[in-house]
Amino acid sequence: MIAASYACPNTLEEAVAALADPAAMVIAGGTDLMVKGRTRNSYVARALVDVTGVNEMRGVTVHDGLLDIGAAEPLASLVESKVVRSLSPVLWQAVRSVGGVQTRNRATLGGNLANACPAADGICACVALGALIKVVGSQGERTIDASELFRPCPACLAHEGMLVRTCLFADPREKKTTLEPGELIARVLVPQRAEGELGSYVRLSTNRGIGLASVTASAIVVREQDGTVRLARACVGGVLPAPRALEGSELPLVGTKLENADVLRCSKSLGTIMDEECSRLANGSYKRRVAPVVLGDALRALGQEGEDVPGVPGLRRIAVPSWEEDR
Amino acid sequence: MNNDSDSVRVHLCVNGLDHDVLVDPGDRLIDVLRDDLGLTGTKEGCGIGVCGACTVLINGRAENSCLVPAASLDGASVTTIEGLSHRGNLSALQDSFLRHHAVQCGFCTPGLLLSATALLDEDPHPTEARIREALRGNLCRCTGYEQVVEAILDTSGTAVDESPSVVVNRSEGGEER
Repeated sequence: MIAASYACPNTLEEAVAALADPAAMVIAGGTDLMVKGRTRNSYVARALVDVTGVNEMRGVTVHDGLLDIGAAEPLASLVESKVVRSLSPVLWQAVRSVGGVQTRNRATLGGNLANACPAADGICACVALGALIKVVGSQGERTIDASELFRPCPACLAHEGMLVRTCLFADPREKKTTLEPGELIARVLVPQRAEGELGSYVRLSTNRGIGLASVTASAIVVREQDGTVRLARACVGGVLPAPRALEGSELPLVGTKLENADVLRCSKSLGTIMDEECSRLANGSYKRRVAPVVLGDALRALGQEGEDVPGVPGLRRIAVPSWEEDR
Repeated sequence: MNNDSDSVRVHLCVNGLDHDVLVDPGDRLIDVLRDDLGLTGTKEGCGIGVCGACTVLINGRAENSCLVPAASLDGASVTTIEGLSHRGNLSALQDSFLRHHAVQCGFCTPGLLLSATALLDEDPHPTEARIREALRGNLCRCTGYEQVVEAILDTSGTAVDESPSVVVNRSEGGEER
């Protein structure tokens, strides 16, 4: 890859100052950016700012009911963190689904979000969990909801997921996120798991290998003592022009007992949304059939057909995913 | 090479030897290892971080050297396949690979050995499931992985004792996570 320069700031202030240059762009682990820079000279004129050494963007702390994760923390350290596993099992499950060991040792949660691939594992979990993204720029800092970080990108639908490994935009910030020029993701604030909250994360990939997921779904519910759903929220990725949070009328589960008919209603609802919004989806007829099933599995994992993941309280999985039932 | 770019001086400790290298901003670690340092044991397969053939240890952890900008590694300790043997003596793991016929064409072998070395350094007695998870990022078309897993299982518990080079090359300043 060819780039114009490479800076390694140690503080957030230095990083933000370096990003004031219009040619500057952030590189974290580089596991997406190095791939994009490989065959095209996309970064010849770009000044890369490596944020992995920025102290304020590292470490995991807990405060005010939030898991406060440094955006430049490698995914492997989140997978190894008992705090992440116990306070946000769904995020833990999602980040351990990313690539192989080598990728997780390098890739970061902030990079997973900023690269803005709609099928990224970390994004699906962060949106479903209602994570807050702490963004810092020369104008100061602001906090946005994870679901508001992404802009719909019709181009993603045409090539994402199964067709190429990563988004082709050299700088996804410009077209796919709501980050302003010079802004970076400093930290990710994930609400810690509430009492009784159950969650699941399901990904469909082409060969169960380490490649990018084609469809992702994550679901969270809180149920009353008698099993009635009090709160439900989900996210699907790789399906619509942006990662999409589903709740309310789009995920009609509140007040139900999370039975199969209720799950089916949610799957149908996703099918309707897809019919309306993603006519240009690559592999559309395939995804139209599987995405509601993947969402259905994420929801069924939370009900009677699901099972607890041993050693990870609050995390549920489905014993046999639907697409493997007839194997 | 791009004349407009600002080269970066990087201090690397590779297989226990210190190197000062001048790299271009976008240079990949694998190119520095192979072209500048002549360590051609590290292989490039896919170049996009899927096959794991280029796996090396950076501060003791397995990473794909095709995706790592060399400019980001100032002060890092890198172990390549050349660093696993010690004065011509193979590490216990390398020896086990030979005994179990875990090698056929050999292209993926350096990557597999380094992924396995990182695993055994962290967990000297891994379960088979843990071994398979550690190798998910390494593709092998010849062995079907069975002999590789057997070779690693066979070495479990002895790797750290019998291969001092592996220990020597661990970074002093490696991050604790």
